[in-house]
Amino acid sequence: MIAPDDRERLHDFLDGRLSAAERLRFERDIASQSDLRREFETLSALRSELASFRGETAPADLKDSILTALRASANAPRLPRRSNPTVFLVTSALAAGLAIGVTVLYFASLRERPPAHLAVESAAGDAARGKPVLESEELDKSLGGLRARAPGSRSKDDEAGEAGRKPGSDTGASSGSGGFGSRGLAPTDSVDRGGPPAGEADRGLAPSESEGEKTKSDEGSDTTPDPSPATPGAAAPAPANTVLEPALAESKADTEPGRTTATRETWDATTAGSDHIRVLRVRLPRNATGRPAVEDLIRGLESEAVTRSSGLTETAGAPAHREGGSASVAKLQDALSSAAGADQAAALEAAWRAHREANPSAVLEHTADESWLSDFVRGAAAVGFEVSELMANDSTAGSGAGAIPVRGPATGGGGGGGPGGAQSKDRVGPTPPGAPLSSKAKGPATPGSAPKAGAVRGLAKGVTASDPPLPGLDPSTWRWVALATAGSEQKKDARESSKAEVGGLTGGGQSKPLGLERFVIVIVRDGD
Amino acid sequence: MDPRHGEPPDDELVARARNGDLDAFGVLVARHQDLVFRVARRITRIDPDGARDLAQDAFLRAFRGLPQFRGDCPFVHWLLRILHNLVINRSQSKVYRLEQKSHSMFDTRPGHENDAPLEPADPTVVAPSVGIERREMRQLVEAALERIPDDFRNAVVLRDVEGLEYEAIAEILSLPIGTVRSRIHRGREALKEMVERALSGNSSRLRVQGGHA
Repeated sequence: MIAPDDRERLHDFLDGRLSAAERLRFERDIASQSDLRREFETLSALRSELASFRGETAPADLKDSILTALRASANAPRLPRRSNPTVFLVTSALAAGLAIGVTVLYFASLRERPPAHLAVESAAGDAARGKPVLESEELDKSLGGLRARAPGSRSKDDEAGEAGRKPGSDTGASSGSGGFGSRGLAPTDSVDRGGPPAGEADRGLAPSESEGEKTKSDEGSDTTPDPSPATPGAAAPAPANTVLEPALAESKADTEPGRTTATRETWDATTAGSDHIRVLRVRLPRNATGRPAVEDLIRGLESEAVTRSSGLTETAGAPAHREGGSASVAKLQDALSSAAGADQAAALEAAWRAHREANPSAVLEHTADESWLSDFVRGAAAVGFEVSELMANDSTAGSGAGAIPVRGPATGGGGGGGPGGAQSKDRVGPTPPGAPLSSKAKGPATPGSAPKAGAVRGLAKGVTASDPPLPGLDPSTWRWVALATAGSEQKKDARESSKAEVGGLTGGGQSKPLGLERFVIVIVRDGD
Repeated sequence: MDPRHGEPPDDELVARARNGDLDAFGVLVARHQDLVFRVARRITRIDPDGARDLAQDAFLRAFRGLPQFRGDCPFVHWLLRILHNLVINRSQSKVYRLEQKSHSMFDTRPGHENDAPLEPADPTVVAPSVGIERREMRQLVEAALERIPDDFRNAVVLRDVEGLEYEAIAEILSLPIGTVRSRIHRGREALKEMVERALSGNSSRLRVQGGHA
C-alpha cells in the first residue's frame, strides 16, 4: 500500500521535480519499501514506452506542402496598398460623407413609419411542435406583426413574398426607434463576428475560425438575406414599401414539444452607441418553473456563448458541449455550485444590488422565485454573459397555469401572477408613487394586447416605464427580458472560474476579452 | 527543439520569416514538424492523414500570425498552442462531433469504451518472443493512451512522450502549473491502471518489458 503523499512524490521524483535532499530521501524510501519500488518500476516502464513514441516522424511531404501552400497564398493577387496619402484622405472623406448622408436619409425615412413590430414567433418551432404554422398575415395580427412597412402599405410583393416563404423559416423585422435608449434597430443579414479578436494571434489563439466548418449560427442562417439596406455600418434608407426582414439564425435544433428553443436574431443598431445588439430568444415551456427551466435557459445561453465566441474555446460551456444534452447542463450546474462559480455569482449579485441601491428611483422589484432568478444570473455568468438588467412582464407572467411567479407590488393592477403579491424582501427602494410602470410597455399596437397598468417591472438603471424592452416588442408575448453583455472582464473571469471546474480542453480562460457584445435575451413562454 | 548544428536559432528564423522569408520558415517547419505531427496525432487520436492536415494547418496559421508573435515564449510553444487551439476548435465542430458519433457507432473493436478492458491488438500473439511482446506492449499503451480523458492525455503526451517541462506544458495548454502536474499524475495513474487491467494477472510483464527505464 502506497500512501498518497508517496505516490505524489513518486511522480515528482520521476519528473525530476524534487530537491536534492528530497530526492535522496525518496531514493532511500524506494530502496526500503517494496511496494513503492514496484510502483516506481511500473511507472518507469510506462514512461519508457511512452517515450518510444517519440520516434514517429512527420510525413516526408509535409514541409513541401506547407511551403507550397504559403507560396500560393503569397502569389495570390492582393488589394493594392494605399500609397498616396492624398488619395486616401479624399477617398475617406467621400466615404464618410456618403455614410453620413445615407444615415440621415435612413432616419428621415424612419420618422415616417408607424411603430415597428418585432418578430416574436418561430415558424420552425411551431412546425416542430406540431402547431400549425401561421401565415404571415396571421402572425402579424396575432403576434404583433413581423415587419415594418410604410404606413398603410401592404404591397402585392409583400404578400407574394410571404406566400412563397417556407414554413420553416423564421421571419421578423424591426425598425423604428425607442426602447433601451431609443435605439433604432434595423435588421441585418449577418453577424459581424469579426474573426479572431486582436491579440489572440499573439497568444496563440489566432486560429479561432475553423475554416470549412460552419459555426452554429452559420448553419442556421439560411434565411433569405435582407434585401434592405441594413448591413452593418452602412444603414441605407429603406424604401417606403420595402419589407424589412431580419436575418434570423435558428440556433437550437431542440424543438421537441415542451422543450425550450432559442432563436437568435441579429439586429443591427443603426444609432450610435451600440454597434450590434443580438437578440437571443428563449422559449420557456409553459409550465416550466425552477431549475429545469433554468437549465434550458442556460443551454440556450451556452450555445449562444459558444457560437458567439469565434474561438469556440473561450467558454465554460465548450467542454460540456462536447458531451451535449442534459449532462452538459448538469456539469455546468455543478460548476455553478462550486466555490469559484459561487464567488462569481456572488460578485455579480452584489454588483447588482449595489446598482439598485444607487438607483432607488429605478423600478425595483424582485421575483418571488428568487432561486430561479439567481440561477439564471449565475448560469448566464458562467457562460459568459453578464446580466445587467432584467425585466419581468406581469401581463404574461400572470397568465396561464404554471407561469413563473412574480411578486411585488402590483403597481396598478398588473398581472401580478403566480403566488405574487407579497413584496420581495430584496426590494431596495419603493416604487415611485404613481410611476406609470405600464404605460411604457406599449410596444406594437396589437389590438387587445396592450399591457395592463403595472405590467412592466424592471430591475435596473435606466429601465423605466417609458422604455419597452425592445422597440415594437409585443408586450403580450414576452415574459422576461434580460440585457446582457458578453465579452467583458467578468466574462473572462467567469470563464476561468467555470473552466477550472468543468475542465476539458477549454484553454480559453486566459484569453483576452473578446470585446463587448450586447445581447437582449427575450424569454417567451411556450405557447405564447 | 534545439537548432541543429550550424542552423540559426528559432528567434532569428522567426524574425526572417516575419519579413516574408519563406526559406527561413521552411527551416522552422523542418525543425518542428515531427513534434507537431506527433502531438497532433496523439492528442487527437486521429489517423496520420488527419494529423498531417492538422499539423499543416497549424504551421500555416503560425506563419500568418507571426506578426503578432511577441517572442515572449519559445516559438515552438507558441506553435503548439496554436495546434492545441485548433484541436479544440475541431473537437467542437459539428462535423467532428458527427464523425466521432459515427465512429463510435460503428467501432466494434473490443474494449472501445473507456471502461471496457483493453486487449492486445492481436490476441493470438502470446508473446513468443521479446520483440513481439514489446510490440504488443506498445500497442497496449497506445490503446490506453487513446482511452484516457482528453485532459490527461494532453498533459501526458506533452510530458512523457515529448519530454516537455511542466512550465512549457502550462504555457501550451494555458493552465496553471499545479493543474498540469495533477493532470500528468492522474493521467499516468489512469494509463497504468488501464494497461495493468489489460494484462490482468500478468502485470509483471509491464515491468519486465520496461524495467530498464
